Amino acid sequence: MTSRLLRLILQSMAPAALAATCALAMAGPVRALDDYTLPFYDPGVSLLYGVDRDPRIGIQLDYTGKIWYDSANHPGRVYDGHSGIDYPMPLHSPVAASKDGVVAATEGGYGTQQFGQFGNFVRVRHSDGRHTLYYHLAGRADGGIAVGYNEEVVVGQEVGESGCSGLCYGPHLHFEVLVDVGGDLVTSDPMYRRLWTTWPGRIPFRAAYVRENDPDTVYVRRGYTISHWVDFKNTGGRTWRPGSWPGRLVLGTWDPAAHDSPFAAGDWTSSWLATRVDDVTPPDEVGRFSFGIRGAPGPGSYRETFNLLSQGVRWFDHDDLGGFYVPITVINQLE
Amino acid sequence: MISPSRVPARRRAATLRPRQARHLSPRIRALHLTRPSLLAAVGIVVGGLTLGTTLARQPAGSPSTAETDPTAAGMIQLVDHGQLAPGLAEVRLNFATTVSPAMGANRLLALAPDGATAAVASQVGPAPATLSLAHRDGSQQRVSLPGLIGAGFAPDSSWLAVIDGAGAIWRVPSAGTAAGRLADGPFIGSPIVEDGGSVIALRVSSIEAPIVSRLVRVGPDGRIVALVGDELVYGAHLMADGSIAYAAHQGSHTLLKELVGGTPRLLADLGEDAVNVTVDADAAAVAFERSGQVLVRRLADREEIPLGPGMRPEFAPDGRSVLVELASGSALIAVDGQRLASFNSQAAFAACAARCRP
Repeated sequence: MTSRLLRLILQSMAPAALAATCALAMAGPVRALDDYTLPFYDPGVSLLYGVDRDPRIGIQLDYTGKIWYDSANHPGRVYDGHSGIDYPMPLHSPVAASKDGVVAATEGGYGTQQFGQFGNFVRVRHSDGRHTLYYHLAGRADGGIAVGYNEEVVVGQEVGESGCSGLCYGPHLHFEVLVDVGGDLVTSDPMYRRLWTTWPGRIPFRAAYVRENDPDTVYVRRGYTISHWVDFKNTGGRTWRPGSWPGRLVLGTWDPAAHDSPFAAGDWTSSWLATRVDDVTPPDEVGRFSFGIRGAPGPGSYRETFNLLSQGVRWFDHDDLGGFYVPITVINQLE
Repeated sequence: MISPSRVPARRRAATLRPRQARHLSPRIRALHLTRPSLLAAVGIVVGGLTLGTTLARQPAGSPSTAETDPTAAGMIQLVDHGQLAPGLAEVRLNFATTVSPAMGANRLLALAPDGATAAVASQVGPAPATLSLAHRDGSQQRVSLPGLIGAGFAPDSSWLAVIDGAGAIWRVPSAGTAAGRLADGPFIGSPIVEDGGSVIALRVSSIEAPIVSRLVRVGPDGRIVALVGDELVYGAHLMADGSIAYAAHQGSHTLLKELVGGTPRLLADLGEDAVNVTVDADAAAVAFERSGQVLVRRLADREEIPLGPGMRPEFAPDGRSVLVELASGSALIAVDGQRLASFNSQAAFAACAARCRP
């Protein structure tokens, strides 16, 4: 039965997918967690072209190890002489730092879609000696550059917005990881070298709703506090940490973001910050968030909406959390 | 694995919301637009049709040339405007279909110092392209290249240095006859050809995303010598006294420097977001673009004069006016801000080519 099933599965796999799977399997083990993450927040963004690892004209070596003896474009893989990774995205899509670092250079003087030989960019220097480059950004006057020269940035922090400045034929992010070779910055292939936190790479912050201790309406007596917890699965690329930096992850009020909550209990860090993740939670693990709910307002039915905030710089996509909120009914003490 | 039945109804509905839908259309559009080949193909089709040329993909290292019937549609016409500014010429592209030069299609790359020849690219970029050499007498040659980045004429106008899509420099006779490869590079920018046949260009590690761009001199024998240590040079200009002025990016600022006797000297710190910098032949004033506005700054007193919206300013040889590129066409503006003339086409200064072209 098992072998029949396996045969069916293998037969159903497209040859290209099988080849890609084999190539990836042969390419070596996945690197440690928390190395680099994808430089954007939208998990729907996909790669269009990767790095050509063969410097010769007419010969292309893509991230899977396949060699193409031509100069044609190969969507999903590579085009001849390409030094980075192209991620198509609409104009003004947020672009995220792939790792903690310091802004080493910025350019924002070109128009968001100004064609030319140079374009807008942010370059970040990292503690491991590598640099990451975010190119073709929107103009600074158009909100394209979100960080300043010499500014410290944390992974997942928005560094700018996508554009189409420079040698660009449609809005996309050109992303590079560079290494310092004798004072020269030389491009490397983060996909081939498995620099992503996971394989394939993941966006920095993402989570999925799992469960609560009480998934239905929470009843709390006026003036009293009850304990509540909710579990989210870490489906992003960074480890969640309760208090340490980087990776600090908190649960705060949402809609609007960070509003003062009438249900803030004594264990809340502030009027909007309900709690931190209870324990260190690597990608693919489930993290618990425990917090009190105080029946402060008068009797009635309410709901309080929450979202996750990482590093103090970026809220999660609330849709990913299933639009998480807690229905609360406050009752009088005598009821 | 979480069973859907365990998720409360109020959350299940939200969880199952098809959130991808709102992102799908723009992404699909972007996917199609991002392919360099697509726009290049449009450029090739337009250029090919209007120039009456059928383009074949040329293998690297073998540009080919073809003669064009001067009576055919799609001729490139040079119109002299020397009465407005020394050496000023308008380059009219009499194409049936107009593709905006703003996206790199049908771009004027260079005008010969004698004003007799204009070099026009069917498409700027890495995809196969055609270099049209249009002469004032109405004749025209085409050179097919594996991509096209920039071009600059020799001081005697007899040949031009051309950077192809892979970044190699070619020596192309103005008559469009057999081209010869000078150096592999990759290079970008508008090369400057010096007396004696050496070429000043920008050597890069990446053509699409240049963050390392070294100012180098390529000798007639192809030997490459670095001129300055600056990491990211945006462009260079030959000055009247023979020195080289260049714009370099440092941190977030753009600096204008002058190379005298092999030693760089700071002329001006233009601050953040000053791009497409050009300097007049006497290094008395600098023009640049910031957030879509063109400005002229006098170096002596740092006074800045706004010239209005525009791109890629270029000083007239006499330094009295600036040619700026507009969304459609170009304009000649006096350095005091007065608009002198507007053109529906691209324009350039012929006499300036050897001395003050970026």
